[in-house]
Amino acid sequence: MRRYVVILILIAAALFTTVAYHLFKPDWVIFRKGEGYFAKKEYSKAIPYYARLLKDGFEAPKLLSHFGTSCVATGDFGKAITIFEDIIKQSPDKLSAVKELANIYVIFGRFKKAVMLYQTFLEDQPDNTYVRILLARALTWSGRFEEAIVEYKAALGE
Amino acid sequence: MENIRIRRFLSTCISLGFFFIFGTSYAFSEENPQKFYVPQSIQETSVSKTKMVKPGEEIPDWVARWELARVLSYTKRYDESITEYERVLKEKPDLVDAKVELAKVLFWKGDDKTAIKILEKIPPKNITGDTKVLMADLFVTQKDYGKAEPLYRAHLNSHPEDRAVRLKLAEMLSWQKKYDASLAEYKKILKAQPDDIQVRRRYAFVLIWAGRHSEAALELKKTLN
Repeated sequence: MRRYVVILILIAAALFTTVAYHLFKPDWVIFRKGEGYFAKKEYSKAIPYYARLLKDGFEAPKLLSHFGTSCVATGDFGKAITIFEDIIKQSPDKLSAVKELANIYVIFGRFKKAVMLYQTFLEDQPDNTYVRILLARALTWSGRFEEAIVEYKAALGE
Repeated sequence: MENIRIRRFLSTCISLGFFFIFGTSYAFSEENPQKFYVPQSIQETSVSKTKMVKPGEEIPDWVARWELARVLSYTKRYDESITEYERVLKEKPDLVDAKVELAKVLFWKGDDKTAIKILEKIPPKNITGDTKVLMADLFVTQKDYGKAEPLYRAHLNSHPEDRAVRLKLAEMLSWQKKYDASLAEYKKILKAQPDDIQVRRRYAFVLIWAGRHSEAALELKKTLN
């Protein structure tokens, strides 16, 4: 009899934990679903989850970049740009959005805007060599070679 | 009997443990979420303090240096470009593409001999079509036509539609006085581009050099119509 009680308690605990997690951490459940589709490269299925999370003000380390990548993969650049532009408008110090938007502008070939955003980013994080190289690349692609050289050298600490 | 009970109990516990871990895996799998500002296009609420962009996105120095070497070559700062290529190759000596690019920069700088030396050290299996053409171009500048011809032909075997390279081959063959071979290449080009007056004129000149004056006259006449 005692054994069945223990089993029931364990079942209840497991069920309770699962239900509680879904109730108290629904954003993470949604994020995981989105990430699942993202991992399977089913980007169009991942987008609604990411968009919903952004709508709810949720933030996870890879949310913005994966959302941006999904939009790019499905060709839904307009939506991504609108969202990232709004993020920056409301919160100019939201650097991850600045970078993601710059990356999308690069894909569009709008290098001038991308350069400005990367520069904005670097004003706040001048030691971020990754973004400095992205800036150098954008400058190169826009034909601003001399400026690109300066940025590459800065990234290399020269 | 007691053993069976214990086994059943243990297997039940393991199953439940698995279920428990499965149910709580979300909780252990991520960092704590942070609220941040929400775009106006989505909703009206706001704001949070920004955090530093996550690390982990890195571009190795040698990649940046390689890109720098390229950009320096675009601005015709060949010496600096060559220095950067050499630094990249010191760190990554097996980068065939970087070697080829270095050879190109040397070629643009006018140092054909060093360029050829670099290209000749690359294993043939790693030499792509474009590199073959570059090597052939370099051999032509050295008037080493015997080495250039097989490289052009190898490229044309895989890229028969590359008329620019075929034209190079046709010209080079004419310089070697291999007129029949040269004319054969010109014919292939003109078959694809019958209205190309410049190519037809060159074809006509080769006919003249080959002593086929009447045919040359006909070809030249076509370019005047």
